[in-house]
Amino acid sequence: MKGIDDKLKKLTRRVRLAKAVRGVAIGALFGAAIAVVLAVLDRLGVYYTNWPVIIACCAGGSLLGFVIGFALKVSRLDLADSVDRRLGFKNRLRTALESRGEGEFDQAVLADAEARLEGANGRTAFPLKFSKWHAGAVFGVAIAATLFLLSNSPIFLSDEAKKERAELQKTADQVRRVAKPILDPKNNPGELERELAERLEKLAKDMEKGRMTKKEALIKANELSKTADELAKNRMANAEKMTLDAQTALERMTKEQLEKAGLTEEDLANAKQTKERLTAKENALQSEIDKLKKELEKTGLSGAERNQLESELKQAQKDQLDIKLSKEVLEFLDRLHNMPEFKELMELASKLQQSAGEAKEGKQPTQEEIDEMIKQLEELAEKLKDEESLREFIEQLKKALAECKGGTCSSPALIALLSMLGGNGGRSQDNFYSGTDQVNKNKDEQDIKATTESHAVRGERAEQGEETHIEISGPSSPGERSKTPYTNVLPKYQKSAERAIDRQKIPKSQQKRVREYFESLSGGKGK
Amino acid sequence: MTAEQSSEWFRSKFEEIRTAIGGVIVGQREVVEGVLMGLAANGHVLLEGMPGLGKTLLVRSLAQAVDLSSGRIQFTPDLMPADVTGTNILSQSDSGERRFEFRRGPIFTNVLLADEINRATPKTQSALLEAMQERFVTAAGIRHQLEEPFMVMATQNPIEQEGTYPLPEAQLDRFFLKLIVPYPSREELANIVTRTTGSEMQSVPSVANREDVLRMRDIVREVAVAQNVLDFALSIVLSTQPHPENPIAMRCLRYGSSPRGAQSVVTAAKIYALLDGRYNVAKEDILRASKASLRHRIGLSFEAEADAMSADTVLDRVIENVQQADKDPISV
Repeated sequence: MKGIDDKLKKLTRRVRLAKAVRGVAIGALFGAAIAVVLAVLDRLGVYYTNWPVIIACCAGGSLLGFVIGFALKVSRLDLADSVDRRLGFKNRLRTALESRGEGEFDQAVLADAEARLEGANGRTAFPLKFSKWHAGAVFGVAIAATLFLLSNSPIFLSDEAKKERAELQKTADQVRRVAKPILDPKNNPGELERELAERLEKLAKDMEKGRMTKKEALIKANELSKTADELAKNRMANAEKMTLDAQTALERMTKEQLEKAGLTEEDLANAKQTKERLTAKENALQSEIDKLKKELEKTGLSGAERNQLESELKQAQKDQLDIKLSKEVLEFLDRLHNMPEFKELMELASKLQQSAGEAKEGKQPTQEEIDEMIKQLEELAEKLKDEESLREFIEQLKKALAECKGGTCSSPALIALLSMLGGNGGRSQDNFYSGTDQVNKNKDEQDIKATTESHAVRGERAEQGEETHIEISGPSSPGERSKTPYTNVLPKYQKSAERAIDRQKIPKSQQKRVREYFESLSGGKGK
Repeated sequence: MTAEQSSEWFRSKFEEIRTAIGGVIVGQREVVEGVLMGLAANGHVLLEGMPGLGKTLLVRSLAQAVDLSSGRIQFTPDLMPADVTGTNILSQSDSGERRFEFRRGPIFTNVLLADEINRATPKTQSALLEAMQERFVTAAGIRHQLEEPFMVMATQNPIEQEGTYPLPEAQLDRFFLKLIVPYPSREELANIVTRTTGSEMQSVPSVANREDVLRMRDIVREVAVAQNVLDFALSIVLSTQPHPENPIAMRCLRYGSSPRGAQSVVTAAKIYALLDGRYNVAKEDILRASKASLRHRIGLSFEAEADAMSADTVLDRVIENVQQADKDPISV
C-alpha cells in the first residue's frame, strides 16, 4: 500500500500542475468575459475603462485561476479513479485503495494495482494540453481587445476627426481640474455639487474618449456652467443668511444681557457715564446700609421697629447686589465692544455678508478674496479663543465662508473652461470673426433678446490648413441678462489676439484684419 | 491456495468445461459461456431461441462435462405442477400396510432443462418458483431439499408464437441470465450437419465434478468490487426504473429491474473479471454483463413496442446514458 501511496503523491503533484494550467485558461476566460463587458460599457459610454484595466482583468483572472487550480484539493479516490480511466487500469487502483486487506483476493488486488502503477507515467495520464478552455480564453481575450480597440483607437477616424479628438482630450484634463476642487471636503460639497462634479467627470471622460464632438462638448459644458452658476448663487445666499443669522444671534445675546442687568443700549453706548452713575448709586446704598446697621445695634427697639429696620436693610443689600451685577455686565460688554479684534470680526462679518449679497447678483468674490477672509477669521478666532460668548459666532462665520468657497470653486472655472472650448463663457480666438457687427458695445448690462445658435464654420489657422470650428452665438446665459460689461472683457481678448498674432497662429493674410477688428471695437485705441 | 492460484484454477476449469462442451456444440460460444456463468454463479439461465438450435444438447453436454445429473421436462399446455415437482402416491408395503409416499418429480436433478417453458400454463410455470429460489420443493406440507448444485435452464420460443404463455415477471426475475440463442452461421451449420450425420458420434468428457462447481462458486464471491464500480452498476439498474429522472425508462418501459437484477449484473461481472485474469470488477465487466442480466427483467411499454424496440435496444440507450453521466472526476 505504501508503494501505491508514494506513487499517488507524485501523480497528485502532476494533477495540481495540470489543474493550474487549466485554471489559467478558465480564469483568463472569465477575466476576458469581464473585460468584454467593460469594453461594451466603455463603448456605450456607461462606464469608461482603459487598457490597464482590460489587461488586468485577463491577467488577474489567469493568476486567480492558476492559484485556485493549484490549491484545489485532489481526492485520493478520485485520483485513483481518474488514473484507472486514463491508463486503462480497469478499476484496479480504485479497488486496491478501497481494499481492507481482509478478503482472500485483497492482497492480490493490491499487488496487481501496485504492479500496474509501477509503469505509470504522470505525463501520459495528465498531459498539459491546449484544451477548449484555452481556446475559449484566447478567443475571449481577442474579443475584449478588439472591442476595446475599435472603441478607442483613432485609426479609423479621418484626419480632421483625429485632430478634434486630440483637442478634446487636451481639454478633458482641464475639465478634471475643475471637478477636483468641487469634491474637496474642505469646500463641504453638497449633494448637488457632487452631482455636478460627477457630470463634469463624465464630460471629461467623454471628451477624453472622443465620444462626443466639440459641438456637443460645448453644449454640455454650457449646461454645466449654468448649473454651477445656480449652485454658486445658492451657496452665496446660504452664506449671506448664515452671516446674518450669526450677527442677529450676537445682537440678541447683547440685548438679553443688557435687559438682565436693567440697562439699555444707550447705557452701553455711554458706558463711562453709566458706570459713574451706578457707582454713585452703589455708594449711596452703602451709606444707607451702614446707617441701618447702626440703628439695629441700638437697644430699646420694639419688635415691630426691629422688623421694619431689618426688612429695609435686606432690600438695600439686594439693590446693592443688583447694581454690582449691572456694573459687571456693563464692564464685560464695554470691554468686548471696545476690543479691536471684536471690531475687526464685525467688519469681517459685514464684508462677508456684502460679498455674498453681491455674488447673488453675479459679482462673485474671487477664491483669493475668500481665502484671505478665511485666514483673517482664523487669526481672529485664535486671538478670541478665550471669549466664550463669541465662539458660536466665529463658528457660524467659518461655516458661511466655507459655503462661499464651495460656491466659487466650480462656476468661474467652468466659465473659463467654456472660454477654452470656444463657447459662450467668453469668445475664443476661433470665433473672433463671427458676428462682429452684432457686438454689444454698451458699458452697462442689459437684456439681449437673442437665442443661442450654434453652427460649424471652416477656416484656416496659422499654416495648418483648414479646420472646423464650432461657433455659438447668443447671450451669456440664454434668456438672461448680460452680466459682464463689454469694456471689461475687450482688453483681455485683444491681448489674447495680439499674442496669437505674435506666435504666428493667425495666417499672415488675416493678421491685419484682426488688428483692424479690435481697433474698430476699441475706437482706435488698439496697439 | 493463493488468490492467484484460485483465479488461475477458475479460469482454466471454466475453459476446460467450455472446450469439452464445444466438442459437441458447434458455435454458440456466448451461449455456452452464459450457461457456464450461470452454473458458476449459482443461477438459472433462460434460453430464448427457435426449436432445433441445440438447447437440449447443450444441457446434456453441460451435465456430462461437470459430471452432474440432468433432467428434462417438456412443457406443454396440459402439464400439471405435480408433473414437475412430484406427487404423493398411495403405496402398499409387503406387509400390506398402506401409506402415502412422495414420488420425486424430474426437478430432483442437478441440471434441469425446462424445455419450452412458455408453452405451459402460468400455474405450472409457477411450480418452478420455489425450487429455483429456495432450492426446496414442498409437497403435501413437507419440504424436500434439492441437491446442490441445482440449476434450471429453461428454453422458450419467442412469445409472438401461437400457443405460448408469457412467463410471469416474478418467475423471469429468478433467472440469472437470459441468453438469446442465434441461428448458426453457414459454416457452423455445415459443421453441425457433418457431425450429426456421420458415423462418429461425439461424446462429452467429464472435466469437472460437483465439488469443482461449488469451489468455482466460492471463488466468484471473493472478487472485489470498488464503490464507484458498484455505483456504476446500480446506476444502470436504477435507470431502468420508470421515473421522471429517467426519461428513457419513462418512455420505453413499464417496469424496471428488481434488486435481483443488480445482484445478477455484479455477479456476472465478477465472473467476467476472473475470466479476464483480474481480482476486481471493472466497469467494462459491468457493461458486458448488463444486457444478459437485465433484458428479461424489464417490461417494454406500449410505446416502445409500437416503435418495434427490443429490450436490448432500450438497454443500449440506458447504458449509453449512464456512461455519458459517468465522468472522469479529475478533468484537466
